[in-house]
Amino acid sequence: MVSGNSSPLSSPIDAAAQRALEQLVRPLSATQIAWLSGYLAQLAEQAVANAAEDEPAEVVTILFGSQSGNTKGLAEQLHTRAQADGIGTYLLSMAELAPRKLAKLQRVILLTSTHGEGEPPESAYALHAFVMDENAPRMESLQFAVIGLGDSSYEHYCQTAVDFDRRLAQLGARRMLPLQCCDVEYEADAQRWQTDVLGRLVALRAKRPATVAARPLEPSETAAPYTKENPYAATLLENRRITTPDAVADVRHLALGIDPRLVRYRPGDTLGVCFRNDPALVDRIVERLGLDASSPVSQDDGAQPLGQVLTERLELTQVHPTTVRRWSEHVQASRLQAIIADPAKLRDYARRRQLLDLITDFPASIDADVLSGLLPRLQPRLYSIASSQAELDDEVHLTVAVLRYRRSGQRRLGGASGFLAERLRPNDSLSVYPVHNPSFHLPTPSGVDIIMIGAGTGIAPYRGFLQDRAAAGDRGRNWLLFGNRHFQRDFLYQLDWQAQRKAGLLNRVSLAFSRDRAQKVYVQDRVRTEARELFRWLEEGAHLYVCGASAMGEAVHRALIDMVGREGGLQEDAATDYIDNLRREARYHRDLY
Amino acid sequence: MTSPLHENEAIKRFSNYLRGTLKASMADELTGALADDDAQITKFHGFYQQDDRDLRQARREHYLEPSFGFMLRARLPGGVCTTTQWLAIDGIGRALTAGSLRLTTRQSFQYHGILKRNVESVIRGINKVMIDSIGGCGDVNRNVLCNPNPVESPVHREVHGWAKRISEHLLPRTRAYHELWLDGEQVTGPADAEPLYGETYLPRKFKTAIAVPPHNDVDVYSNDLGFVAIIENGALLGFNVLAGGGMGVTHGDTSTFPRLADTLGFIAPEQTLAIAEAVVSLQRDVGDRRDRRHARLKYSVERMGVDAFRNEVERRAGCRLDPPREAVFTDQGDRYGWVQGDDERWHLTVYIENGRLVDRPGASPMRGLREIARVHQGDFRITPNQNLIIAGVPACQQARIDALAREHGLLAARHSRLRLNGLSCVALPTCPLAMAEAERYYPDFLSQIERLAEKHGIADQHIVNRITGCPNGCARPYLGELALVGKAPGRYNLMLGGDGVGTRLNRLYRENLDEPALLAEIDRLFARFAAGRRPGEGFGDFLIRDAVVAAVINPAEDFHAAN
Repeated sequence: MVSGNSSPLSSPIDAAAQRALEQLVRPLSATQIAWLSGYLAQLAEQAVANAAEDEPAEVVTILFGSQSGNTKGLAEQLHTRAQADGIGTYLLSMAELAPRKLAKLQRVILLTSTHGEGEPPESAYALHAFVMDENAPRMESLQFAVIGLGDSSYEHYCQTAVDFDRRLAQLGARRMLPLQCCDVEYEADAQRWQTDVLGRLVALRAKRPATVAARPLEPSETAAPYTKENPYAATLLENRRITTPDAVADVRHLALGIDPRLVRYRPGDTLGVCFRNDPALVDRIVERLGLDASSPVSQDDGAQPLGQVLTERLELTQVHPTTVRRWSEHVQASRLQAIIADPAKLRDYARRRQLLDLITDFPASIDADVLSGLLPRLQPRLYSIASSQAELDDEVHLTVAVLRYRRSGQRRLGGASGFLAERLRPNDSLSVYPVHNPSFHLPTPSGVDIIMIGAGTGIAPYRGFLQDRAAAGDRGRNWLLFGNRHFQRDFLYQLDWQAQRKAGLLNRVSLAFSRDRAQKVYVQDRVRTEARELFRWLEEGAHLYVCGASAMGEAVHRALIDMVGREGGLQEDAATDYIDNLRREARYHRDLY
Repeated sequence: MTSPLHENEAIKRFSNYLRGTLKASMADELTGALADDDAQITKFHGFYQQDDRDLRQARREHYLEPSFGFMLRARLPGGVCTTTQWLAIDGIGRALTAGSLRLTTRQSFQYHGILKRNVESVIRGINKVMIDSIGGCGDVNRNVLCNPNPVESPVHREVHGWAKRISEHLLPRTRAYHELWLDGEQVTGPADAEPLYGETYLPRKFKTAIAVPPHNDVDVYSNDLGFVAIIENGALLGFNVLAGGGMGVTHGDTSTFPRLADTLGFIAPEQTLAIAEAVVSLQRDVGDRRDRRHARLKYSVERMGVDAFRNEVERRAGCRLDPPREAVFTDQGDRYGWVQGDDERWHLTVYIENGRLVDRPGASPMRGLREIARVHQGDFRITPNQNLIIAGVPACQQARIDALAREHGLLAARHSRLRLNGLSCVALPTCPLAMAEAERYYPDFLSQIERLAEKHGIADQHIVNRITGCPNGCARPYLGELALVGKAPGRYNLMLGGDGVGTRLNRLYRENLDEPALLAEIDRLFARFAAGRRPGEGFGDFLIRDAVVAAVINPAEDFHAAN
């Protein structure tokens, strides 16, 4: 945890202090260290909060609301560049700032992504709700700049960023820079904007304070800061199918070996996985387009063979609407034009296709450079981590559903899931990086009851939660509500849950297997049947976690409102407020995808 | 030094008359299994926790618990059921279990692979047609066997009536079964009590059978309690009472042995229930509750001696037993095909391989019996040899039922004599006790013995042959002329020397043989039999006369003696 490998960036502690810290930590057990990390995190949070109040004029606060880690990565970059320019900055996740403190800050840079139908990312939820509330305080003394990361194929493009920008101005805060919205390929715009922000801040002569406070120390920050640009080479230890051969979904438990001195994560965090496309898929694409895999394609680092570029650098298994639009410029097909003309149709078409489908549905003749120009860069995929380092500090576990389907009679395989489950061999190395997800961490301090709701692979983080709580001896009660198709076939990690119950950790279990009976039962139905007990737990202060597909998340959300309405005797509005309030209090955590 | 009571005794004692924590076990969503103690208790309710042993290892690797399913065995005295009952049994089997039906060696049917969440529906389903599963397993009196004798209808009706009465008389009285599976709620009323069994029931299972000479299809001597009907001029005079039979043995434990029941004496029909109750209560009081290997009645009789045992039974029943009447048995098997009874009605006995009813391409016995049940005006009778009698067919319907049976493969093949006299237990993959294959393996193995029998020109010979996957004896292997008792995967003990009518135990001939060794031995034995047999002499009798094996005279002394 306190390692000699800490970079100067991540460790603001000098050599003497570092030695003292190492002496203190060495005799401690993993559990003690885990406790200490929480203790220190709290101290740090107080220090930052106090600092933010005490020296508002001196410091710029960089606030990020991130889900996939892209926005966070951008915020970290800005933080580093600001430090290099002598600008004092605090870097905080929006989830880490008590919303009311916002009005007391002087200069704030907000970076946020947007999800689904204009929803803020989970970590931005409370701050967003606070700002948007009609009773939000005036913020005349605040100066701000907002950047949003989004996807222009969605109707509510960068909506959260738009919300922050407009609303803060309404509340009397002053813009330092106009709102910047960035599309899927955000790097170039984001770089330009960073330069603008820094120029503006220098102009405002922000002074670097004598003592620089970095953001609160989290375990994941004390280790080397691996990112998607600078990933860590993990080793595949185990690839185990955890559904029966007759199950609909092929779900794998993957164990990756890591150096615990270099890679730290907390249960609830996600892991970015960099992957290579299937060479067989690349061959088929090249063949279908009548191209030559060895023909050179111009890249930033010079000409590279097409086959290699398609395998390692470009997105093939997810089709972005922009790609469809760009492709349509090379095709004479009225059906495609009709799709392009309707954003909803376009999104729907893109969501259910791979590149191979697009070029098969609408053949065109293009050269290698044009092809590489219309494909987005291959992005790593994020998976919820299914383990805790308190149990096994040199491993990280993932729960991966292998995306496998047929289209036009041909077999299609998910990009990353296919790579992980089918092409990667034990002892192979793969590039990963942990993504801090503070809005889905276990409650601190310990002793708080948690209700864990998940469907399918959404069960993953809860495995890490219970491992963590077992190691820490956390006495908070744990309730798992899990749904999948068949009890006999896809009750993910059934033996783990049984062992945790036997160990006294898992206090309550409610299951919904949708295909086991004539009448389908989903996890949201169990929320309703368990209403009385759920409400009691919430009234007693339990935290609520929901992980899994967005549709499930929305259905559970609806069921929660119904449950609160019925059990609390509340009207619809009041029940909705009750649930929204849980989110504002950071007691309702969601990780939906 | 006395050893402590077996742990099952405490489970029974603290089960509150067979309730245990079953309610919680059934409601537990995290597992398809029951709490360990409850898995003992449910046996008394007729169902038995099992898992598919073929899948165990793979499921563990998937982080999944074993594929638990329950085997439920109904109580069906004498194996008789109506067509309405049959249609319900069949429908439940297809909808709520692994999809097949197993006719048992105790004239009942059992379901396999019932998931925990379906157990209640299955019990409610059979209850709708007045069938229960009380005492299907467990330390109580099990399903009562009775010769299904379709030919002499009035006698059968009378004897079968006694089978039902014995079964009901010896039923547990606890309301737990109704409360847990049928009524839902606890009925208020006087506290439960078990006037006969007491709160710890019997030390071990208890089996009762009624034979009607000259047929010994029920293997009456293998039962704890046996009744041999004495009939003169079509009237039931009474029964010879037998006690102390049993099959179960433990490999490597020479203090365990199969035993034929001793004949205690003759009683009039009206003394039947008193005698049955006396034998049960005596076993309740004197049976070994420390070691379940020695807990069957046969060891009690052996310990007490037959005379002392008889005296105590007479004292408890309050009546004297007369000297036994003469009874002669001529066979252990079933009479296949159509026979006409005294009442002019026709009866069709169909061979069901291993008692397993499952529809496969080419044969659809389940569907066939379902269609027959829809038109049949008589009843069905499950035989103690796992076959089925379509009984009481008026002449006008015979052709129709015959056609249906043929259409669905129930009469299709001409089976060899060997096959028609074979019996197999379930064993792998569901039986938790199995050490080797039985039901899944035997048809192929029999084909190989058939070839040997043909090679030696003895294919016309009745040879009572049996296989079990373990030494506990569900298919009554120790009464076969030739039997395989499973020892380990692919390995069997070869037992020889039964008399073909169920009145002589066989003996271990060769231990732990694999298939080539078994076939080599059987090849040699058939050759020897073909060369040396006397006219009319059975295979088992020949082996004794030829000193291939020595007859078992007193199993407690000589069953394990070197051959």
